[in-house]
Amino acid sequence: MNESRICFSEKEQPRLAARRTSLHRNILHRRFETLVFCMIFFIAFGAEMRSATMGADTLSTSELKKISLEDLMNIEVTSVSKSPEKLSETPSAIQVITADEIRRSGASSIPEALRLATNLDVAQKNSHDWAISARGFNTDLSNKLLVMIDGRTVYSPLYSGVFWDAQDYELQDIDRIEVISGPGGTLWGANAVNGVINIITKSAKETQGWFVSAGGGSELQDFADVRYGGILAPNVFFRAYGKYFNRGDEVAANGDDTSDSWKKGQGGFRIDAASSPNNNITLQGDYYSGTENQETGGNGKVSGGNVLSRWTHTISSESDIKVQLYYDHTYLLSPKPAAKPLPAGNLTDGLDTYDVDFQHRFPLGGINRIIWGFGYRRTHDVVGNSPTVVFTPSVLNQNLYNGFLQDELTLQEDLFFTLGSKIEHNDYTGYEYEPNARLQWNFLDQHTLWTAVSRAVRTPSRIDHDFSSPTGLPAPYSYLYDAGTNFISETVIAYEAGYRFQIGSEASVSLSAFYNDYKNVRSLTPTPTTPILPIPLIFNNNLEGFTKGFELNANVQALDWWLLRGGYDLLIERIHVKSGSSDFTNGLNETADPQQQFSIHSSMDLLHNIELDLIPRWVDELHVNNGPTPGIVASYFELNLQLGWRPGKRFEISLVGENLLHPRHPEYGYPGLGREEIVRSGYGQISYSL
Amino acid sequence: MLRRLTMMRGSFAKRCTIVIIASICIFRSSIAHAQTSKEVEYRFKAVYILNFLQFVEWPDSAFPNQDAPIVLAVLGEDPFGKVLDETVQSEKIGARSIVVKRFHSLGEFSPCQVLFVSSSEKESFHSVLRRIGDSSTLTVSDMDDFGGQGGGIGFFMDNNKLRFEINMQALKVADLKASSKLLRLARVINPI
Repeated sequence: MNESRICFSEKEQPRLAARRTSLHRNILHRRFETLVFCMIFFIAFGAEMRSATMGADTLSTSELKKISLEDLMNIEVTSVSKSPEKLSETPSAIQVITADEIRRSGASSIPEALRLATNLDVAQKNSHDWAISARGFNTDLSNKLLVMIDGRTVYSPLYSGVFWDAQDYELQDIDRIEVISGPGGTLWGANAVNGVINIITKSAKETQGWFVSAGGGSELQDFADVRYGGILAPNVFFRAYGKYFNRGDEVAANGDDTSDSWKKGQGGFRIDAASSPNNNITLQGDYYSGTENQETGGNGKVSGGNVLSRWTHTISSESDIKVQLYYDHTYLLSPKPAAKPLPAGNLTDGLDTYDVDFQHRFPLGGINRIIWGFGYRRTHDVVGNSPTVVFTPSVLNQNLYNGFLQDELTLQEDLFFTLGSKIEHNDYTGYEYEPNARLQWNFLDQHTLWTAVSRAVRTPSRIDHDFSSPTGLPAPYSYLYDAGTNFISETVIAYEAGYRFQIGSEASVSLSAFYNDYKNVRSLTPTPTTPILPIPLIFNNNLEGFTKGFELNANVQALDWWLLRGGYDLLIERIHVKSGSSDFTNGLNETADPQQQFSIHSSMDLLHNIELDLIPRWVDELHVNNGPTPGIVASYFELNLQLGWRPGKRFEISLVGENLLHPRHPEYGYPGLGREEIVRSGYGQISYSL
Repeated sequence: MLRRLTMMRGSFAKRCTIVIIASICIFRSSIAHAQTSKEVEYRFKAVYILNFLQFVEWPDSAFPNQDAPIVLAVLGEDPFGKVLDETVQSEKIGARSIVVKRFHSLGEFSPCQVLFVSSSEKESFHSVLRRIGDSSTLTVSDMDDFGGQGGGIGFFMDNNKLRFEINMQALKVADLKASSKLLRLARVINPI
């Protein structure tokens, strides 16, 4: 294979069937909208009835007296709902990137902020594309991570991965990013095979007043952000924001500029009504639009928008109901170069997602904490095929139903056992089950041991099932890749264990180990009967194997003014072809991961309100296998830094340097003319809040 | 291609409107319940005050005898209602029980160990401090910048969370010792 990037070419289906399905589609749309409307009215009516009969018992005085002062100080008084679940009491490998860490790191985009989670493998491919995964499988079409922004799923069903250039937010208004490495199928559903990323924005109440920021530099050439937050009515807060940036080219291996600069604008709003401790309503939405120059020629476009509403009804500190519904629209236009004898063309994709989710948490019998829920998602995908990239059918509606139930049992005072499962139904493979069991032992005051077994599933995406890449050559060489209509879900059984402890309030350490057993991983089966060239290569499920490793993460307040955070990951991957089957690259195409990596984030508060953050990172070499021979991305050691002057909370000037140690270095991609390298860069920023 | 784009945008707006209207129906029902969040806030403050009682040390001379209860008094308009009494009833600090008193005005003042100064007394704040003098009374309040103006412990909100500041000078004048457990969690002003 000469390119992992698939070439698409035109192959027309008869249009009669399409017209019939189009009419059918409109009726279904209307029916669906009516259904959603009915559900909403039912819930609203139910809420009115419930509120009228509700007592004022949220966190009672006797419950409050049982909580330590330290913990009380972490509860949001005006939206009193949950008992504080400290990070140290979760039976999974979770890291939280805080708002302050993001601010001090110089990160100007979500992928850059994700570098701060040491349990993620983050590689920048070019000016606008990134490869991000956890615990392996960070291939070009990496598909084992579930990513959400405020509960809205942002991965594309085209290939079950994330278009990172389309995901952005006003970074100043992000409250935290929760990164879980390990399967999250039970609570989050299919695609949460290797990890879950949850980007959580601040409530409108926390972002009041003006925030204005602007700056420029060598790669991040110019940018401006504005946000205003205010009050609409007593206890109803809102914010509105707009942002814009312009980013320059990265370079090719020989140092020449590639033409992959891009620019994007985004705006949005959020309204939070927290008028009582029992009911919280949020309404939020965003819209973005950007154009990207492509290294291979042409201008790409990304645009989209979403509206989301969420209602949380609190019954007590351990019991609440959440209902969420959202609509998301994404559009992309990707120019595809010519592949003789086929001409160049544009691949477009317009995706509409409607999603409704319900969740209820409640205690039972003094020892159970139960959470259960159900949801429905409908996607309407319209692909505009290009000559070399074809999805059949070009218009596809899909339905996804899910239900889940999980119980956390308190076996003894410090011993908790969690058991649960999710059941999903999707159009490709029918029913899928994702059970998990977890055990957590808080064996000393500040020490926790946990272990877990989970099954998670990566259901087929359109590329596995509907994709083909015409070559323009006569039969039997008409297709280079072809989807397998027998493509089934990839599965993993993950065995994990972890140990977390704190040393006073100065240091905390977390160690997680895992062994993941994968079955039916995607492979490319050559067609043996075709003379000379074994094409088409069919997407199949002929790989299996295991990955194992561990993740170490520590936070140390070394001195009053010096905070150190750091992590180290080890990953051993042994993926092979099932006996009796074949794979074109002998099991090497789905993985491109470093065996080791570590990074440190050093934050220093110096004199005169100066802040200095240094973030060195080292990533082991990658074996990139989608080429005629195995290729290597060399291991690299790099450094980002931010120097900031912050005389008060209102004003900040900062200077950021990224990838400072080398003029340029590659982080991803098959070696050759097509691979881009990331240059040393810097930018300056001024921010002001009112 | 362009026509398809504009068609898409039209229906996008329509779908967004549906979601927004739907959400407004749900959100309408919650506006009616604006009252109870203050009550929750004072439940928190009452429990914080109980914690202050536990982590501040009064000299023996502050009490008439060994069995005298700790007197927790509210000066001015009482924002707690019965919550304060509920919180401290049947609690003991060492061997001492806790008794709640209410002074509607400074004229009713009598010796007490903790004086919660309601924000209704904002104007007469300095008269209150003069009246207390250097007796071992811990003054607590949630009026703006209470600690900065000479009060003992002041409540404030930070990002929806209830915090407090301790004025070390005021505590020293009253001969009160705050445990390091409490100081660690407070914003400390006028350190000595």
